[in-house]
Amino acid sequence: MSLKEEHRPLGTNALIYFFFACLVAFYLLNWKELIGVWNVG
Amino acid sequence: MEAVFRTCPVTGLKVERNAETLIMFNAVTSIVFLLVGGLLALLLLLTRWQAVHLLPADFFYRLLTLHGIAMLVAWIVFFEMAVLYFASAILLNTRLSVPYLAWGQYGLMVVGAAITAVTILVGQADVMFTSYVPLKAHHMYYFGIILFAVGAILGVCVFFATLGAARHEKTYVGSVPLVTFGAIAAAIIALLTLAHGAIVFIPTWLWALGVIPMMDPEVYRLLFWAFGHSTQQINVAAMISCWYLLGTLTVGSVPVSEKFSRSAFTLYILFIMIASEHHLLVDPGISTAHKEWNTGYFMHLAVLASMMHAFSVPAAVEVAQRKKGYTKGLFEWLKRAPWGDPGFSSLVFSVVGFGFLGGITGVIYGTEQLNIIVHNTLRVPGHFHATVVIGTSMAFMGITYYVLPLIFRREVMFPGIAKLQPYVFGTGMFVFSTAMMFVGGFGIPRRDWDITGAEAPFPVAYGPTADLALAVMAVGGLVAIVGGAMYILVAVSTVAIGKKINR
Amino acid sequence: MSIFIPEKHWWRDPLDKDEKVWLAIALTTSIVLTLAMPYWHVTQKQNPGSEYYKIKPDTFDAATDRFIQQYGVKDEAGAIKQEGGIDVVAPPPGDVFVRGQQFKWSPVLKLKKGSEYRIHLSSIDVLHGFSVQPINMNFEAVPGYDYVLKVTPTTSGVFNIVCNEFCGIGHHTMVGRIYVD
Repeated sequence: MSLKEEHRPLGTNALIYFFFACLVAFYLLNWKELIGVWNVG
Repeated sequence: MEAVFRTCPVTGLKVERNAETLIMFNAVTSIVFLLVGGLLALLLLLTRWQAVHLLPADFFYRLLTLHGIAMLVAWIVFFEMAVLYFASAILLNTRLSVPYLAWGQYGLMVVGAAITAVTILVGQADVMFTSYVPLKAHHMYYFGIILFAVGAILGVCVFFATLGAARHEKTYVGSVPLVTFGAIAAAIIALLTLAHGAIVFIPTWLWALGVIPMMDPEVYRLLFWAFGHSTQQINVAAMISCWYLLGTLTVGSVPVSEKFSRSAFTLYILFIMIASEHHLLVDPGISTAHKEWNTGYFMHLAVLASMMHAFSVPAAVEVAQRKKGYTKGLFEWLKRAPWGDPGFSSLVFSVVGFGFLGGITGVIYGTEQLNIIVHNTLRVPGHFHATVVIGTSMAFMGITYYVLPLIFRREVMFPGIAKLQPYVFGTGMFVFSTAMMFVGGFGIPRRDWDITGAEAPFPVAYGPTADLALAVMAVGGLVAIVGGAMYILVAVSTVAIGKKINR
Repeated sequence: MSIFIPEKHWWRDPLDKDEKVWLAIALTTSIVLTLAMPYWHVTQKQNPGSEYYKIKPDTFDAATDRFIQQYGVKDEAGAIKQEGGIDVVAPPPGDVFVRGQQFKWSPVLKLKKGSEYRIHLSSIDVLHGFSVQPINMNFEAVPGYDYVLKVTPTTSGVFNIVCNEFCGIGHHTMVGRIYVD
């Protein structure tokens, strides 16, 4: 359905991009932690 | 059993007596198991809090096994049976098909859960929820689980029979409601999951009886997780149905796009079932290519579905609020939301906790290489307490505040406590899960009575930060247990002595 | 409303722009998450190994005993040294056996930093979790499977092998040790 401009879920957009930033940040942080372990393969 | 209907004064839905009774029985039983699991949680928490270390080792492992069964299996699946009956018979204005079978569901599940619980309590099944072979439990443990699973299969059959009958008798026209669609996704996943449960538990039962000489432990692990993780996907699908339901009940939300939401549910059915190898990422027995294909392609398409719901659930609430005139700025809709309605606050905790804590960590921990620093540490239970407790359980708790007046037709007792309950429980669980994942980062193992190595050949230390975080985890857990007790108090007293709503 | 029958032809409604943009981002994310795993295998050195063999627990048990006899650290009397009741072994780079059993990791290993070892990890009874602390690396020891991990210690010090897969009531007493110098 097409929404009127003032009904657009802008707050949800803001929240979901904040969520996305958290996801990327924690993802990178974990790879960084992984580099610290011994070489294994 | 003849179909007798009444009309719900709030929603205008036709409510049939058999469906209503079965919803009540399943819901009450689930809360009984929540109470059991919650008491166990308290004892386990006070043991893992190294400074208190309450239980002796054998009791710790025994009760941890029962905690998993009571919470992850009994509380959740009984409640899901209530959700299935609600989403079929009630939402489609029809009668519950084959009510005898539905009673069979209830009876088998109660007997099965009781057999398994008793076997654990008498010390015959110290094997943990996962019961990895060749660690062997008494055969009655597996038998109880099989009965429970057969009961659940009957419940799913009743659900589909009811859908079929409603279609045949034309009690609705067009497509089923979104909540029912989500429940269908949950039920399809449930059938496939329970089939895997049969494949894994029937031979294990025969093995415990001595009929089959041995089981391959890696094959067991693969099949167990095809059952065990998929069970959690039933929860996810049921939980998200409850999110849409709560959005509608609390602020009158309408899905922004039916197509978007339904496609996401369909992705769950197609992919989430197969993606269970992320439990075996640091195992022998499976090639790297297979692990990556399984967790990458299949799991991430399911992750995509969750990300779609993560947008469309809050968007539905926001649009509904904006249509009421709360259009100022980015967040007026959120500020003016019914925060005093425990259904709404539960919804918010559930969505945020599932997404930010459970979802993000799930994606990370399920990555092949990252699993090296995650596998079997406290990061894992930290993750699934965020998904299953903050996510699924809080969604179910939120639904309860509506089920009580609509189905039980009683006024919610202690409205003040009910109003506070999601905040207490949610905050406690947020602290608990976050701290648990944090200490897991130090490498502290899960399912471990003593992490200091006091009785081991070598002492083990994780450092003062980890010890402090364990204490924070314990405090968070205690707060959550208070919140859980508040929920049980409100639910049980309402059902038992709440004022009847007359029409 | 999500609890009522949707309007007719709901599947023909086009998606709004906000949904389309998020869908594109989410889909891209899923693809990147998937490709990250093979990418790491090609470019980096921390990967769960793919090499494993089926082996009878008895055979693995005997192989570990032979390994301990061959490379055990001997005292003056010629007996193999023990620590915490567990044989101590100082193997050259190459094949190393780590045996999990209720409730003991054996042997105690003395390894050299920067050398590559082929660690054969298995169990002779139930599942065990091979968890090297505090470096925090975790692998599964499965009876019947010889899991070969090519490990190069990159830090030196004293490391514990904690069992982190529940293996019975004595689970928490199952601690082994690795020395790296």
